[in-house]
Amino acid sequence: MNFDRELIVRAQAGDKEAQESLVKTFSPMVFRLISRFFRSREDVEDLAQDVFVKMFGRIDQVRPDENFPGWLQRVAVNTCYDELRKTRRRRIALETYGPREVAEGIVQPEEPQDFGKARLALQALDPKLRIPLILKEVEEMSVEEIARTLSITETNVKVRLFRARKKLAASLGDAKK
Amino acid sequence: MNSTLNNFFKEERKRVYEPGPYFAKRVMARLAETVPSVWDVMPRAIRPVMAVSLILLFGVLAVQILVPAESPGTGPIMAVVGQDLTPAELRLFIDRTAASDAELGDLLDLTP
Repeated sequence: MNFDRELIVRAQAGDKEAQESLVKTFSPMVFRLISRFFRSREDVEDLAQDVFVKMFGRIDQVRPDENFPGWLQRVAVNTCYDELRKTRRRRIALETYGPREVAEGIVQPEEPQDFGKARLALQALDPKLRIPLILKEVEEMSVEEIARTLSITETNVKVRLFRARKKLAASLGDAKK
Repeated sequence: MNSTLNNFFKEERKRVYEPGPYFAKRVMARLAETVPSVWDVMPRAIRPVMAVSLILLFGVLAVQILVPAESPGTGPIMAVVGQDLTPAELRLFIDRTAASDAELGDLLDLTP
């Protein structure tokens, strides 16, 4: 990704114009990444804002020669992970104690039935397994890139991918029966 | 992986939101609203030193509050000088039972 590295230095010094330019340059990348995990536009926009606020909060940690887009991807994925964990906890609580309709899940009417099942199966996965799987299959990242983004080893990524696929296949198999 | 999942992931690749035209402005407005705490303003390298200093300071304060301090019988100077004094001189200088300067002054007041 091409961008003026001088922008980072200026943004670190508190230059508002440079900060706004950084947001404009990287917001499509951040939006694309968050769209992989969240389906509503409002959620995506709110989380993208959180990512940029975090980015400016930690921008003094960034060295201009560092892989800045990679670092920002890491911030975005970690923000999504935290939110997915919160959402999952809320959903489990609702499924356990809430009204019955929530537990059954809602398949969006415009998508094919099989896709609806796949989406629900994917949403039911633990974020630890779901994130690497989406990064691999939807974002088409390599195992090495996923390992770098999630700050885990390549072996760990492979193990998580294997488990995610197995669980997904099992839940889709159950759904077909 | 089965074909349903492959097709599902292909569809998911197409589902992307783009930032609106005012997104950058909204982020800048949110940043302007954020009031930085003292901790945020402080350079990152100083934070661990500051944290240790604060822990030590609170530790000392806690000890001061929780452990009752005994007031010394003599001041620090007398404690050092007192080692060279004879028992009679010590009695003269630091005997607590002796009359105070004001009492002595009253006693010595010889005016009719």
